[in-house]
Amino acid sequence: MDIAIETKGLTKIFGRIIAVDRLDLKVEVGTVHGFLGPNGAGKTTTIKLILGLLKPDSGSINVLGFNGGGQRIDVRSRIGYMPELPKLPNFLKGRELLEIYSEIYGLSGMDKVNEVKRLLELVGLRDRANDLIGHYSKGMQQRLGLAQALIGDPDLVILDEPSLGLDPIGMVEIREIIKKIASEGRTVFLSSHLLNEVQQVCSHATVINKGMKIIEGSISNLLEKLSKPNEVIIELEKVTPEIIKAIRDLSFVEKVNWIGNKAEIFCSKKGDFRADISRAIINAGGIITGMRVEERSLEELFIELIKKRD
Amino acid sequence: MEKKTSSIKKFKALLRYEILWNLRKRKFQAILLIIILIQIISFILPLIFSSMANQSIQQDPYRALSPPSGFFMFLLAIAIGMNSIPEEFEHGRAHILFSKPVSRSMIFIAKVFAALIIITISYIILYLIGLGLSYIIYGPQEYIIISPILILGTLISTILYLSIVFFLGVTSKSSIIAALGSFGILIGLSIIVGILGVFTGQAWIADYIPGGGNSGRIVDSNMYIQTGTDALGVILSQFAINPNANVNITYVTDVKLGSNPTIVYESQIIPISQVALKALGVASAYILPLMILAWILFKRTEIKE
Repeated sequence: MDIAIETKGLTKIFGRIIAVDRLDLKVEVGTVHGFLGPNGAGKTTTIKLILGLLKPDSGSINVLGFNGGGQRIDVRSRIGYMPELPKLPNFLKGRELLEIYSEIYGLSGMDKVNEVKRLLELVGLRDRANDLIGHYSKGMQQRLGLAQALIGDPDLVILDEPSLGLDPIGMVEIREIIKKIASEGRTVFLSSHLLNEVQQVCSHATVINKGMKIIEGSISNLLEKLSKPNEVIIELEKVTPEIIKAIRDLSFVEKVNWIGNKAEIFCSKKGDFRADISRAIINAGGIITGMRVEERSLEELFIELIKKRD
Repeated sequence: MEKKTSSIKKFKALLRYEILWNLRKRKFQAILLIIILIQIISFILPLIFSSMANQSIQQDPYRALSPPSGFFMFLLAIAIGMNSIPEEFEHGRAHILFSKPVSRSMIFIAKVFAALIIITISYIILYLIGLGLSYIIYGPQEYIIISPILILGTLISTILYLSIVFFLGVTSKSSIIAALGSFGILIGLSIIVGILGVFTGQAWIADYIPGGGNSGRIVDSNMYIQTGTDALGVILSQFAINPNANVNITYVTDVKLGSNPTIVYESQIIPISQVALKALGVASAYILPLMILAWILFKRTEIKE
């Protein structure tokens, strides 16, 4: 598997604060990799190190097969970057900004015109292209920030908190654009503190806290790895001592909470035990009126992980 | 690796960015407008005074060879230079700019180059206004061919201020410090050197501070001239007109305080070539180290915020 970003023992210290602490990160080519962590976890610092905006105190960075990462101009020509709350030059018009950056990427003539047009359309800013950026709303600036990150057909797109500060509609719009970028086969490295966002958009994720990696893997693996045994909730027509006993006697049942005709069954093992539970209840003469498995979201797991590490 | 782009294309893109920025800056527009107005007034005022005194104005064939005063050169340098680098950091724009496939050296050079282009165009506009008014008020003008030298000299004088502003801007990453620091340095130096020069009888040291200098007259034409970096435009144009001219410079050598205070002057006749060379040397001695230091610091800057 080709690697788009690889850091080994990456460390950055600001005075007494260790912002990034011996971070080993691996982002595979063609994946949408979420970089998760609470505010101040070291996500932005790591991104700046990858882009060459900061110099590491120790450790190595390899981006698109080249050591030193974004410190090399030729590597930067293959990276698109959108910072957290992108600050764009207010004195330029949206179109001018994209034209200037396109020229930096070597586009000229009709290639430049077409690229700018394509990006403006992608982010839905075609009608406002000739307005000064200073007159754009936050959401529009965010979308333009995303457009400038896509100039020059980058192999790797790094997005730092792309939906930060947006209203729910803006968030959805940005996520749709990210999904579109990802569908074109690019590697997307997306930092976020919003787990919901990562779960919706990413195929892989690395979780960091206090500059250190906590866990990494594909989203499904992470959920699998982190998930605790399931909790099954059943609703019965009538609760009898036979049914209570039958459930309690199941080998995988750890604990049962009864609330009226409802039971919360906590399993000691991972797996889907709905069939076993149904069978036991029916054999005990019970009638099931409802059953569902309580799955835990990445968000809950994330909070738990961070608390555990703190 | 693919995606090689010519450096010229990148440089042109950066120049466009900088020039558009400067031209749209209200600060720059206001200062340029003020300088143009003051320049117009300085040409028209003598006409108003002479007509009030019912006198006809004296013809002056060299009147168009009058650059703006050093203070305005300084203001122009501040208006263009104070934001050029610091604002990229203050407003967080450096994140995106530095992540683009362009070297920091090229960004720095483009910023300096754009500033020079804008200052040069401003001076050309000022010169053309002055030339037009001079023709109308002071009669036919001579040595129009010298005007590029006048503009070049004035540009060098302004680059000296620009290098101070750029250096402070890079080191502090603050527009305010770049502007106020430059004011402080210039005012401070002028006061210290002025006091030192007068009270120690070493007024020549004024020639070695940015914008400083002494006054004198060109021996043959009796034309008033200043030494020092601010006057480079006039010095170089006079040198171009008559390379063998001599300048009679007056230095204050002593100040006697008491009931009957006296100022003692000393005159020195120096070839204009020497005056020009000294002013150029002093300007270079500031410009080169300050610009090189600013460039090195800019290259090494990390984006921590």
